[in-house]
Amino acid sequence: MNDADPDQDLVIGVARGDPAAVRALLARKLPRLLSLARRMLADPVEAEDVAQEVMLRVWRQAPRWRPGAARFDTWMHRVALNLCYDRLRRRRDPPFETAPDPIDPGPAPDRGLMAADVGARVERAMAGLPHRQREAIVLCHYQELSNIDAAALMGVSIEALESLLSRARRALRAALADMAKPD
Amino acid sequence: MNPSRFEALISAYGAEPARWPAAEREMALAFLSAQPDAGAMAEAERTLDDALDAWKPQFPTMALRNAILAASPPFRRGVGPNWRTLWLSGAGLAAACAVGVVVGAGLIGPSLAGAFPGDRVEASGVLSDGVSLFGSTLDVGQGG
Repeated sequence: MNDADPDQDLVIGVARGDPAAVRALLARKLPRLLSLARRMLADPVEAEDVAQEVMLRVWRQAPRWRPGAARFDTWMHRVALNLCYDRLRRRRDPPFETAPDPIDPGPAPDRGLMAADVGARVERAMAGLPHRQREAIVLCHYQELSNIDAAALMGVSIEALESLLSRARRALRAALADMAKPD
Repeated sequence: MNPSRFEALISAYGAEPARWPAAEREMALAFLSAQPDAGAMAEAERTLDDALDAWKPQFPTMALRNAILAASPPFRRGVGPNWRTLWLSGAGLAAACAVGVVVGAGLIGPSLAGAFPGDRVEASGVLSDGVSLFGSTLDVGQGG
């Protein structure tokens, strides 16, 4: 087993046409891909399109994969982000045309509903961020990449990454400032 | 680690130490426990972290997974263990016990855990022919 790249054995299996390796790699990567695309694009249909396209490229590229040059997960993230940016550049209208709904100050709603409402507000706030700030938050907070991996993916220094993250978090805090602090 | 760097660190990465740069994590934790003001700073960032975490990920549907599997080389060729082989395996028997009549009826509910190990899956409706619920076999049959 290659400790440096945890996906290497599966990618080799996929290249050999091993059905078990195909299923295992899909199980391991698809949820993360879909999550990344959804958080970048704020559109469930486009997110599925991106995730599917990335995996199709994985099937095509697996036989050509050369371990050691880069980690497979890094390459896959890069492909996903490029596809997301292609779609973001094609958009002419803002993703949300109406202002977020204000929080109801009435009796405490069901916990599940409250969490869902917060999630929807966060999604709107994220969609309002500049693309690079959004990417930094998605990679570091949601994909939980290390700062080194995230900076490398974005092609920036760690200092620049931290600047993007700080600005993004400041903007998100402002956009969500009217939300009640959870108990 | 000093107050300025600690503030910059949590402003960028939030209050969860697991997200802090590995090279600075121990020093930042020591600073957090030693400095009374550091806790208040971290608490403000944790509120935002909690809000961000409330945005739950989109889970893959069975339809999406099947479409991607069907396009992979071994399943395009119709290769892979068939249903009988899976049935005889321990995984197949355990999964069958868990799903039972629902499998036989060809209908799946709104949520089905375990189609792929460790993942939650949202069912999209009646399964297409030849596709296992348990994710361990995909007998495309006709290929292509």
